[in-house]
Amino acid sequence: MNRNFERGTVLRFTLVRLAATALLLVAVSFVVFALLHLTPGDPARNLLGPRVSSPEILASIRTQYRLDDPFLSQYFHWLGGVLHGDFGTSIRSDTPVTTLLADRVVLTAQLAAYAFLLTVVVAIPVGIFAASRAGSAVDRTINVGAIIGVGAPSYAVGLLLLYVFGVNLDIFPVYGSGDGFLDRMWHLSLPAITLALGIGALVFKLTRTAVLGELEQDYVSFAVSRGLSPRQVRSMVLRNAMIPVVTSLGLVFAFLFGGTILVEITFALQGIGALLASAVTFKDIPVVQAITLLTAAVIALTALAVDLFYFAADPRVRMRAAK
Amino acid sequence: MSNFLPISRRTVLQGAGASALLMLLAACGEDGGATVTTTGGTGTGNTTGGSDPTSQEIDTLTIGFPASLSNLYPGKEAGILNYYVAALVGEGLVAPDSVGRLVPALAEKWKQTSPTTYVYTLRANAKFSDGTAVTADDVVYSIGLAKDENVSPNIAYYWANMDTAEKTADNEVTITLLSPDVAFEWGPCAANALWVTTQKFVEANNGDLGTTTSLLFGTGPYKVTKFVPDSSVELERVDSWWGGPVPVKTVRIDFIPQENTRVLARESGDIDIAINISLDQAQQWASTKNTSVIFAPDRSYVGIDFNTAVEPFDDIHVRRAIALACDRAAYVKSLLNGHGEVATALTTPQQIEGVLGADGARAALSPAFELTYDMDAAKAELALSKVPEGFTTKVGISSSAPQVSAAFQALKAAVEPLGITIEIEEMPVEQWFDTIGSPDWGLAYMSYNSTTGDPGELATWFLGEGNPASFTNADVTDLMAQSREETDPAQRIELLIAAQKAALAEVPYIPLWWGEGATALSNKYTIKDYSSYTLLTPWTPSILTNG
Repeated sequence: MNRNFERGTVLRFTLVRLAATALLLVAVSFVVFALLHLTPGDPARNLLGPRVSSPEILASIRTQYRLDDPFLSQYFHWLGGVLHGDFGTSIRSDTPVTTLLADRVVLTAQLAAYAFLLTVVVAIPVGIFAASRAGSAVDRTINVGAIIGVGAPSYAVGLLLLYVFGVNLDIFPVYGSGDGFLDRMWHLSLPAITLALGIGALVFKLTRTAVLGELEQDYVSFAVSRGLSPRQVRSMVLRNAMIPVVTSLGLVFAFLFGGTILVEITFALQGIGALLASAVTFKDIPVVQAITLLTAAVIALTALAVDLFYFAADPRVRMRAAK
Repeated sequence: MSNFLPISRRTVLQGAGASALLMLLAACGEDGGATVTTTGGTGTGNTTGGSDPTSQEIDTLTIGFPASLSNLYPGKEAGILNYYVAALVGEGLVAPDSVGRLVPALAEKWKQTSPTTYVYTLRANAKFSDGTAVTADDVVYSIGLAKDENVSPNIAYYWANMDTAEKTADNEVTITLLSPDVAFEWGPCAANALWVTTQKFVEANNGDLGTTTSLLFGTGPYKVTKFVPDSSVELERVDSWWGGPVPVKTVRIDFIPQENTRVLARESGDIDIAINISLDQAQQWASTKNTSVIFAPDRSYVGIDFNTAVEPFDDIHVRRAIALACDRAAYVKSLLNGHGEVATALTTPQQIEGVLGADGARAALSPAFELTYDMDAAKAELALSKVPEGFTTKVGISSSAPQVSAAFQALKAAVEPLGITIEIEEMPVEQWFDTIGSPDWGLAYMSYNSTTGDPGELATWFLGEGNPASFTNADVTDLMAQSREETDPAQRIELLIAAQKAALAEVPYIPLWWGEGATALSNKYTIKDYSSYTLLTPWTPSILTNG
């Protein structure tokens, strides 16, 4: 196939997907904005808490944050700001949303990346190993471990790890996010392991199934019968088995980025998960909007990256796209 | 102030599961060694053996808060924890002592020269954390900030009755009110609604206060060196404080929203003190090694509210029937494990003990509400109402109030045989705010921590205009008006209790209990004269090191 033609296909595909992602983000922002409006609670009231107040003070807060404007007017005011790079001000903390999110996004991304790395480095090799020993005692033992990993709630696993490694053995810190890169990684170790245990068990199962599926294919028997070395055969099998695994890894990263809430609360980490949880109940609309958009963007871009990987890894996909 | 926690806690189920896990682990681990102490309003902290605790230099004291702060200025975010931090950094003109009497802070003295005029004389040696002297202009400017609804939405209410604040001499500020109100004395206090700062500081930060970049600037014994919202705040000692250098050099406050994690942080020694520990996990704290737990009344009130404009709660017989079905003594004994007392008024004993003493306070408050648990009487009362066969109603309860939820479960079971069905809806604390005084929620509850030591604080709201019960009574209004002008503390308390007795006879509210707060601390330390006022003043000098 013509290489320039391939490049053009990939570029067109990428641009179309990016445009679709932008539309998707606008749609998500509208739906989330509308849902927050429909949920009970009043941000002005939440700011004051259960204490005596006057109608004038409530009115002043509502005016300040445009809470009395019609729904669509509020939405378009917000959207107009975003298009100019202004994500608004948090009602709860009276701080610009971009300032509020800056450090937290880095922390959550570091945590998700750390957990992702652990998952890839441990779960995939173990999955391949278990598939190569399918049915053996070792395979069954690893499987049981994986089932426990999938089933155990992350907050309980987190506390267990904290008790053993934080308190009893005193190896890792109990809470907080640390200062400087190395200290940060040290603090994120237990949270990342907690996250990786659950999601890693899933990736392990997926890898094992994919590799087993490939090993049962006719081309493997054919390759062996033609005298290809075990190393060559293994290379063929792994390359094919990795397509579904890498697809799942894309989803895993997106899940990790958006699924750190419980772990962040357990380990007292100031990431976006913990912030989103409090912002939703407070109805801190600008904060919720920014975090959901960010998460949606990460998911959409990760999905795009996975699809581009498909292009590179699977000639069949390239051919289908060209047609 | 409210007991409003900026972050809602984990669900009860999660907490219970995790607690069970932790308690199991603790049981397998090392021996516990906790001391549990209950202090009265004037009592002393725990003593854990050895020689007497003394005030010693402490390099770093690490405190664990149960919830996060997103802004340090209580005018913006007025949770009780925000006040605890602000009390170390900022000061008002006056401050409470350990029994709730007002004592000098930035003002060395003050006097009321007419029913609406207060004159404050500033102390000469008061300085900001950068060493500059505090002026009368700074005080007047700061009062303006506190009164501004946009800058300080949470405290502007307390200044609404102020007419003017003026510099009347180099070291003197005079405040005049629109109408007499004795409770105003608590206004210019860092435990309530004033932290003196400078115009220069506020303008340099474009009007921002308490954020991660602007921080706080005040006259207290500490300055903020770092604030990471929802993570931690660090304070450094200021040697120029008028009260003299304090013994703790650095205070680090970490926000640890998961109570189980906070227990482990104490167990590992990462935190020295855990403020406001969860009462439903008190057992777990008690088994934490090298840790003491101190209980003290916290001026909190928990009670049922009826919206008397909503059927069937517009019928006094219905309200009386429910009041008679509340076994308040059992709630305190079983649900609070005795850490609280049966409430008989909106005013808490700690708000009048400074005048009447501990026993005198309880004796004075007990006649205000005298209905006690009697199911036969409840049945008879309901028979007199317009819904003698019973009715169905609902109540919304914050998921961060497990004891309240348990009390309503007990009440629900008690009134079921009478034909009354109470549907209990658990909800995030923010949604609960909306149930207060709402016509959609005829049955509701209030959990309120008084900001001040003023005995009329909650009564002013609950018996005044716009109260959540939609309650009106001319005699009560008259008594409350008299109390605002009565300058003799004992006479004023008498008027306030008389107003509450007259109001509660109509049962718009059912006082359930006055609560206790609990703090866990390393056995190395003791808190001197620990009371509900301690953490609302510059409190680190109260941390003593055990011998």
